[in-house]
Amino acid sequence: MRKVKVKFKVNGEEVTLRVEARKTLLDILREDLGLTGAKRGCETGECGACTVIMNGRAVNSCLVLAPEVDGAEILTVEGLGGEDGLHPLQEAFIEMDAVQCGFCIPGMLMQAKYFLDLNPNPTEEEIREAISGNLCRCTGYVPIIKAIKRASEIIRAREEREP
Amino acid sequence: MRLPPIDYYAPRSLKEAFTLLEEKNALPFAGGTDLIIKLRSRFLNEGDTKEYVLVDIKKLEGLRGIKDEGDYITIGSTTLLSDVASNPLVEEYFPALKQAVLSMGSFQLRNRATIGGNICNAAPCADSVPPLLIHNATLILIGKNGEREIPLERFLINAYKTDLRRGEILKEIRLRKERGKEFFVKLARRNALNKARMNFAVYLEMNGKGIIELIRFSAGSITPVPIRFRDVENLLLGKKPSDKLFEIAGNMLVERMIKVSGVRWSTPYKSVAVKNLTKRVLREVTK
Repeated sequence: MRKVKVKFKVNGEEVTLRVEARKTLLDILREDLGLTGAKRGCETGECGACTVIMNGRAVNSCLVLAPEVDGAEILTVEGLGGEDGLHPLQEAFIEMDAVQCGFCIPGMLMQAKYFLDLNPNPTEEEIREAISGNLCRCTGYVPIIKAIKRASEIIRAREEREP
Repeated sequence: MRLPPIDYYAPRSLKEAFTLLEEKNALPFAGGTDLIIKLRSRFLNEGDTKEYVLVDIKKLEGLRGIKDEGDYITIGSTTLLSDVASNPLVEEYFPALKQAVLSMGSFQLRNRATIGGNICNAAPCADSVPPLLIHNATLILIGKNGEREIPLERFLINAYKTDLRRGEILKEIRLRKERGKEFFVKLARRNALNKARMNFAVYLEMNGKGIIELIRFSAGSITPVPIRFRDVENLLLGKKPSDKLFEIAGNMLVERMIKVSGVRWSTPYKSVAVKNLTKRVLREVTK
């Protein structure tokens, strides 16, 4: 099977792979790079468990073909924290008890990161709409929404202290 | 493996794209939010293991972006749904299209799906279509023989069947700027990640005396492709809006729906819902 060469950045690091065109970004992340944060939930773009940020946009990685990844910049949940530790979103998810089984969480975090970057001071309604592409079977969404709101407060407070 | 074997091309020139599409019987590939799902289903559920040739049209010049051309707006076929929804020209001139696009999928899907893909996939429930039909949208197709124009209404032949010929790509959608009022409404089982059970778009111009001078009414998901309901338009043209007229309009829609689509399992529900939705959308747009 003919393989394509893809050179791209994942969480700031340069990666080069030779993969079959029929692999998806989700396959590459999980199988070739060992980044198992993104989950295989439905593979039809309906659950959001595979959400990662590609070239600045939150996407379902199960629907991105391997060759399309060439030249792209990918951010996954493994790259969310900084050198100082956890990302405010991760801190808030822990603080607000937003994690039960954990399966939806990497997708929720990446979607939330994408959303808060666009809308740093959202209402609860806006948060609900923002995660409408991410399913959770455990929490009933309430603590997740609270966590995203809390994260926005943490981020804004930090930016006020060190702009 | 979760997908069939794929031979992938990302041509940089239109000429190369046309050749690939024609000679290799390849499929145009844009957002992939319909195509990849289809391929996966065929491979995993139907035992289809043949190789598919895909021509990625996203890198081709001139297919993406929304332009103000004076009397017209053009929307490139590979423009992402999220960019259609956030575009100021769309907000100003085609708010029904904006509403429709925002009702589609999810943020993640809209960051990949394209408006051209929604049109060319030609699902009965395609949400971008009714808001385009109410503006008599024209499609520009391109192939090795040059450009071809066709009204969107004629391009959609049947469910999942269009007039796109082998070797052709949808280039852009052309819409005339108009200054009337419009409204889009969609009924679905959920608020996101949903297939419309019915999606209506109405465009209307009224004069100072409250008479309807122009009306275009399109509904999707109740016939094999979204269509214009000209009998409803003729009923309302030149008249003052009234609930009585809206009631008759609703009945007309149901009649046409049954005539075209036959009586189905959904007919008892849709007959009632269509009537009420017709009244709702006409009330809203004539407010």
